[in-house]
Amino acid sequence: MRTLKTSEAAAVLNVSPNTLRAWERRFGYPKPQRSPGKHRLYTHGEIAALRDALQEGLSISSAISRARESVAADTHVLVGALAAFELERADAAMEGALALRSVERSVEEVLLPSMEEIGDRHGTDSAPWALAARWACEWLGRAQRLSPPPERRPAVLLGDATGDLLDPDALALRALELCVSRTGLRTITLPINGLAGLGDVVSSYEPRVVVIAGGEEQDDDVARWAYRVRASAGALPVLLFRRAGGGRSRTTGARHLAGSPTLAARQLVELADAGVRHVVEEELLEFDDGGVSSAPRRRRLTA
Amino acid sequence: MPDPVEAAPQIRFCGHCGQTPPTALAARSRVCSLCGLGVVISAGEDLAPRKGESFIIIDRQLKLCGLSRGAERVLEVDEPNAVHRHICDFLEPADAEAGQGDELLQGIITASFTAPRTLVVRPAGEYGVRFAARVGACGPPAGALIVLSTV
Repeated sequence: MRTLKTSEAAAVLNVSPNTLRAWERRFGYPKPQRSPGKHRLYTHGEIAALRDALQEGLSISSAISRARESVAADTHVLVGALAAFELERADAAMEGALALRSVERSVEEVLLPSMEEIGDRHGTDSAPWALAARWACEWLGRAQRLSPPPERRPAVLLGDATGDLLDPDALALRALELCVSRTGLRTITLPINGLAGLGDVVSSYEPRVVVIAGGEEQDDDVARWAYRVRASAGALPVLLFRRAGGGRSRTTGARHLAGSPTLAARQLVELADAGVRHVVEEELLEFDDGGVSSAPRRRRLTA
Repeated sequence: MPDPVEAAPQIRFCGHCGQTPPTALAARSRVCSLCGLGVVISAGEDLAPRKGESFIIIDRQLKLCGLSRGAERVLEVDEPNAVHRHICDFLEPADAEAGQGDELLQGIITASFTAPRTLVVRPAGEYGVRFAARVGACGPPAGALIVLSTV
């Protein structure tokens, strides 16, 4: 996907960078992503759609509305392809979406809403949903394989408490895996009901954050799994994703992540980064005090 | 045979702040270089908004496209929330016997294809407030401009 800096996007539209930022404040469009340095990055497709719409519109509002419609057309195409069981056309629709958006936004704005539409039309216990859900999981898996390899950032352990393929939360979990891995964090997904050997895996990956995703498994099973994880890795923060209830869990004190995979991934990055900073500060203090480096302590985070 | 109604010269102005572009280069730009929130459009000199006048721009389907800052205040609506809504949601003929906006729509369509004309209107659902609305064609693309002045 081609992205443009603010000055480049402004030049395409023949406006000043300040005007572009004013549109973002007033109309919420075009909606830029942020570079690692927090600079605005506009998708070329959105800017091109807006440039064309400005020529045909009598006002900025109507041009933006028109540009939004042309960008939203991808969702209609994907829903149409999935409703007609044409999976190759569905792949092509996602390719079209990726030309205008980042992977994360394509998932958030096209794939997940389209699946919701299919679920509303046919029900999530139907064959059309099963076909579409399988395709969507495969697409997310392909996208994850194409993601850049994880950097040296810490790992996130995802406890899979979702049901089978027909469970919409399973799809959301796949989307979360993709969004988290694209931030550079390592992700490991393990089923909640697989307790044997769990300690060995957890010790090997040394996760910094644990997320329990989905609401299909019983609370007792989830608690048992979380206990085993904490027994191996220490008192890690445990967060809930798409598990019933909002805010903070009464029994465990676990926080709920946002329902949107991209927002949840951002929250996890902030939490993991904060944890890393905390650990680095701790190490620096140890060095200043002692002058001799000791064996690294087990790095732990508190909730 | 000469045209009995000579068209007024066209002037360019911003569809949001109503100001004339300061330079020839700015006049050729699609977006207003002064406020950045409106598209530069043309209308006849006798129709175009004068300083301080509120105005509304509608498209060929008689749906609202743009509002000046003053019109946003008069109609108590923000432009982003008003676009694509029918003009009758915002204005009605001041004459209560004129019917459900039919006279207003007829007046707008007629004025868009012939010379600008003046209609007396009021905000939809409001009584006791009346405006003399100059209505005529604007663009590009083709649309209608309604300039509101107090009666």
